Amino acid sequence: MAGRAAIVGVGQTYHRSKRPDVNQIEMINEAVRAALEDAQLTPKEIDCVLFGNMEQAEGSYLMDCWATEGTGAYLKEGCKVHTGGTTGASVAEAAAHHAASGLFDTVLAVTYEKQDETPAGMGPLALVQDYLWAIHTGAFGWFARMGRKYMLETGCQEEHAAITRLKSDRCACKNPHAHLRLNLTMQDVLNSRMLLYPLRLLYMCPTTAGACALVFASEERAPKITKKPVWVKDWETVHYEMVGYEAYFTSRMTSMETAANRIYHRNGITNVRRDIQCAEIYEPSTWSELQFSEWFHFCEKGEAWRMAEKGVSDLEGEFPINPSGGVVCTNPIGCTAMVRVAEAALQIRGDAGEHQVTRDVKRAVATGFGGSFWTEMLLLQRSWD
Amino acid sequence: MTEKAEFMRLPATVNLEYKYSTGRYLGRFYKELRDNKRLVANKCGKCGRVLFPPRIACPDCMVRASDEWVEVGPQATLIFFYELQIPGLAERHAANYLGVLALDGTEAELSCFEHRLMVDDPGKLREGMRMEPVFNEEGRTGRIRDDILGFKPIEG
Ligand SMILES: [Zn+2]
Repeated sequence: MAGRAAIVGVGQTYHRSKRPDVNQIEMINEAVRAALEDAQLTPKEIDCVLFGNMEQAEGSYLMDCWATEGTGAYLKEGCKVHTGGTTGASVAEAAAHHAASGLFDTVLAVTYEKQDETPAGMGPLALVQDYLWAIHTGAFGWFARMGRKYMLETGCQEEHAAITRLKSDRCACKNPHAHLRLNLTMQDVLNSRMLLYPLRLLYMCPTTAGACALVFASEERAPKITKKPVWVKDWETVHYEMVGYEAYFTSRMTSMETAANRIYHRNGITNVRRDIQCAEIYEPSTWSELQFSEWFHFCEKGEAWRMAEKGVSDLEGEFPINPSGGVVCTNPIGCTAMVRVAEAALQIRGDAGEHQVTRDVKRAVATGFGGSFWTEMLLLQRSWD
Repeated sequence: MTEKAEFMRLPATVNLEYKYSTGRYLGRFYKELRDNKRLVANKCGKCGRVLFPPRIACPDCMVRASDEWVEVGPQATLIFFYELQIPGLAERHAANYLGVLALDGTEAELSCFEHRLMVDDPGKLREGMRMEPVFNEEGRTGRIRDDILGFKPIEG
């Protein structure tokens, strides 16, 4: 891409388990207003609106069309991007594309999920796999199997998952937008209900109602809108072959490693924890945070649980991972990956508030996870060079 | 006078019945299972990878898979298992234990699948255990989840 794009506005709702006080469009509108206010822009100053959610979740389709009064897309250009769990990152990447292309000066990216309206057990999600094939325990099964594999391969014990979960909770308690802010103790975590071994309820991402919006601007326009543009230096999308079949353990290159390798190589990142100062990753379960950290090369293979034990990934640590509390604390699915981008941008701006990390964040990565183990990764920077 | 807001939530049920075409490759698998209780896979003509479930293209070589078919299983290795403790899950799957199984002759990493475990004593379940399918003897349709009732440990 010849042009450059920056994030110039960040907005999100307070994420909660239930939002009976608003309908879907009203909830979307809260995030849009917050992002526009952050950017100090009026709806008229937005050229294009890109939209996304996990369509099955609320049973409402074509929300890009009939939520226009919530998004402000009325009579504007734009479309919907829907890639399952990665949707939030896909919409962000598409918005960066649109702003960097020179076609639009300002692009509003909007995602939401209102899971308090979702059927129990996310029934329709069964359809994201080949419905005719075998038996599916869906996300519970995937994340349990990934956790078990991680334990077997690395010697990680459950206490390390619990340590990691407590770190997430400490961060979430400092983030007023986070959904689960529980002030947990070790006993609370270890006594929480076992879903599928070794996945306990508290290791699993919750069902959340919430929305997020980001304003992207072109290279020329961005510095005129804000003194603190966050540059989208690079991004990557990697798909994986597991289309509904059971690849719970694989020694192959994962989509995460592939995305990270490409981004690091293109941007001269040789020492990840030195060259990048913070990560907001889509960790669908606590076990995933450990496993994914290794796939993203935040540490050596088999080292993530030791890193957690030493507090490296804490808010005050050498390499903070998910200072927002992450996905196990907040998960409005189609919006979740965009929250990662939003939170990484706030860390770079120094505007994260109480959950601002100790380290000076000049560069951060945000990732999305979903689809059939797809990965999206964005590299955000305070200055372009 | 201000009225206290009442936040209403109104339920709606959507029943959707889809009909999925199985296609040439999965279709062959379903037919062999339904008619002959045989489990089959096709192969990539370039790298020789056994594609299970059968499919049109090899993801590694990005070429159309061959029409060379091989029989796989029916014996399998239990890779992983769990007790269904989530409310409603045991009823939905008509089992108390599910396992991830890799059929003999398939590439376990990419071809394993979930199925019911039929065990008298769950305490004897072990990762790596050898298992065999129990076929449904009446009214098979081709669906793996119905035509195989479950997998049980191979005795002896
Ligand atoms: Zn091949």
